[in-house]
Amino acid sequence: MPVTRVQDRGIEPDINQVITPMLDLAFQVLLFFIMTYHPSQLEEGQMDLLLPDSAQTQAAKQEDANPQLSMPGDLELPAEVTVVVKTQQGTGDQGTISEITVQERQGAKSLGKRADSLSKYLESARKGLSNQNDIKIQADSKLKYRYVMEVMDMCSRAGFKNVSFGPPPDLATEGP
Amino acid sequence: MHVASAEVKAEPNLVPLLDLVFQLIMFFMICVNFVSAQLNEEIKLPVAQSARAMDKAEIEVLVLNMDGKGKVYVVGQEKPLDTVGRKKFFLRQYFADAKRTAEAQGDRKGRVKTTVIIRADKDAGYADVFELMALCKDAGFRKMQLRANTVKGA
Repeated sequence: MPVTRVQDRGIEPDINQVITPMLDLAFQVLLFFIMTYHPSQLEEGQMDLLLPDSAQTQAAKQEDANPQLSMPGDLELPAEVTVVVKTQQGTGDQGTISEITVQERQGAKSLGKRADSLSKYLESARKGLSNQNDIKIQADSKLKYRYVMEVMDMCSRAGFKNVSFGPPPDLATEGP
Repeated sequence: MHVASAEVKAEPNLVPLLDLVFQLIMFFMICVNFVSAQLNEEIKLPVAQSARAMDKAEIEVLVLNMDGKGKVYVVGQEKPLDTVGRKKFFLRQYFADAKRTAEAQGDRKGRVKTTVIIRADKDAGYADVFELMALCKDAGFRKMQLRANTVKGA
């Protein structure tokens, strides 16, 4: 059976799609996306925190946990290592790191001002821990958040999955 | 095979359909914009290279934007939450509402799945950030995220 084509017989289909309104709307959509585009949001990342109920962390069994025993302000996980970050007290260069101390069971070790060395130290210290996931950060109240995040970043890079926070020690001593 | 000699003109009018489809697209895009509107662009986030890409699967979120002075900005609140009392009141009320919603949706225990996202300015003090985290925990929230930039100078 021979193949017959429509054009061969001289009949041309008249297909005229009106695409102008569609283009108008497409441009409106494009404009909307351009107006709402925030490139900084693409560079934003998240660091998860899981807040345990202190009653559950202290109880020997899950069933023994009593929500009524939960202490307000307690954000701590049962960590073996605590990173204490101190800042200058008084006037002047406030808010920067003045000393980083790592407290372990066998004692405390001062690492000076630089946070760079913290990651390597924690990485080696982590190998000897029974709880290799949890670590606690305890910073002075006036320490700026950027430095707290720097220390948290070092802890995450050292392999600790759960970073918890302790109350500022300077407020704990001064406060009621 | 017989082809009609008369000219066949098939021209369905797609314009109203396209109008309707694009209006629907517009509606959904505006809905998406409501979520991103919770992010305060004036907050300068600290840098953390280990911060992972944002999880878009989180549906129930409460974004708390904290500026360098410790004031917390939340969408829907005209004034910033600047005192401990106001922060505590807002968080407790929000948690109670979320619990009621969970119960209404069939969860007998009223488990709140809301994730609190703290976007604190890099110049905020540790005491303010810690206080906010403690208040969130006291209110009953269990899932929390800190936000940071993964690139310096962003």
